[in-house]
Amino acid sequence: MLAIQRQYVRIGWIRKSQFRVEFINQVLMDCVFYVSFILTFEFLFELGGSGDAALDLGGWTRPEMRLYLGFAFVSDAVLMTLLGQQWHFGADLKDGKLDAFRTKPGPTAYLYFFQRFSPEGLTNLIIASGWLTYALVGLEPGSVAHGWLLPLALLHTAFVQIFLVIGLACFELFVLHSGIGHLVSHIAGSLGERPLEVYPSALSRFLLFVLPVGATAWYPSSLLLGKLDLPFAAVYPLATVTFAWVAATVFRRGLRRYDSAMG
Amino acid sequence: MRLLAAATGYELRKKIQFRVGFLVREVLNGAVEPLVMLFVYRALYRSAGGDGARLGGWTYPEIVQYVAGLLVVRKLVFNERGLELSTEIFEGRVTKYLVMPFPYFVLAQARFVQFVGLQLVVALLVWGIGYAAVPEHWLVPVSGLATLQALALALLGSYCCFLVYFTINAAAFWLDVIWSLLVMAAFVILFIGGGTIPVSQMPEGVADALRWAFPYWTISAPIELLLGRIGTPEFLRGVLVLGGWLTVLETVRRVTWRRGLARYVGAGM
Repeated sequence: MLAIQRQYVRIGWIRKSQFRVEFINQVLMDCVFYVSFILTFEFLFELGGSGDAALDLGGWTRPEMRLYLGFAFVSDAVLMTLLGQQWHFGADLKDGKLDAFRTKPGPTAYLYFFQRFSPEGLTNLIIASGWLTYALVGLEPGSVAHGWLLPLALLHTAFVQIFLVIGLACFELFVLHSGIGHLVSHIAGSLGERPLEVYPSALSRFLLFVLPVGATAWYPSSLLLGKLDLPFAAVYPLATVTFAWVAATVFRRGLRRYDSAMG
Repeated sequence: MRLLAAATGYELRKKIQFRVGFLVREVLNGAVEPLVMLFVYRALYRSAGGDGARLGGWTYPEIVQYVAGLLVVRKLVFNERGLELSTEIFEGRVTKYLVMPFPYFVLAQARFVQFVGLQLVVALLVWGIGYAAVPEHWLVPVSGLATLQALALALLGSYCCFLVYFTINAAAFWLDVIWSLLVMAAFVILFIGGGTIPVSQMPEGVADALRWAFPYWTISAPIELLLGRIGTPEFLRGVLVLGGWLTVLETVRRVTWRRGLARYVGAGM
């Protein structure tokens, strides 16, 4: 798999060396996304005056929210760097373009979803990491309770992001050419980009344990800020591993419906 | 006009062929972000003291009505996925239109007319469902005149968006890939138009500046008209601003198209 990934990365760089303007445009595009998000929350907090603690979002102050957004951006950049092919899954399924990925050595999900390595996504990952670092530095001294967990938190975020993509793709397998995978992915992404405390508790639990988008930004930022009970923090990754197993299994079974001429 | 009507008919039939896809793409499209923002607002107002608190001139119930308006008005805003001109340029398919006895732009306009016709029905449907489900929270227009004014602004603004996306598509005469430009434009239009938070709730200087841009008059202003927060004088200013933008955007579109065609070789990529 490592050899295949090396080839995917090589192809990604070659592709972008041919589309240089597009490379810049895509980096800019994600920066516009980041800026619009940052401004939205800065404007909202500004409504309560310039003090950092004047308003909060379900207990998240302005500096904490900046950290939250940092994790949301990093998580999104991981998705864009490694898993950009997910946006084409519905169309490829309809057009019967999965044959080659089912016959080659290696899991179909891996071969398919990882095929489009994105150098511009990697650039944005660096930019997003810059914002995350800025947010961490901007926090009150002592408010980062478990800073040493940062690498583990980032790895966990990437892990969950990969299996969320696989899990959400299952919708396309069962409702062909509906764009439902995109829609669910969009809904899940949007919900995950805001702290779970703003949602009703049933929805929060759903986003933590059933469709764990809460694991992409909420869990790592809460973990670092010491907002979580230790037992929950330690056990929660088991829930995401379970989700990963279910998503991979459903995807494998759903793929049996594929017959090369689905459109 | 006969050509425009016939092409509009074709576009409509194409659009509603895949019904689940139609429901997902046309009816539910644009509903997610505003609804998620409601939860964010709820938490924000709670921390400010409750629903009655006034933040940036808005109470929470008014924000709910704004979001309801957003769900309806956004349906009318021409989106970045509405045209396939760039693909036709890449694949060298524009050639066939150049030898036909009518300008290609009429076909693109037919797409716009189809979009508006269909989305007016969808917008009405969304408004009706929302009103039936939560009448006490839903946006009810203050008057028939306000509704007509809001509709006029939204449609003029939608045509501005159409011109922007057409011009970006036409940039495919020079660029290999343009989808990122389209997405970027959509982000910007939505954000500065008040698609996430009302423009009037943004800091004063920012809001004042954005009132000179067409997205505000396309998204936020029609909702504020429906809510009765602004009236006829602001509507007239909006018509003037949009008129100015339409002139500029149409000029840019014509120049881009003409210069693009001058370098088009008909062979595609």
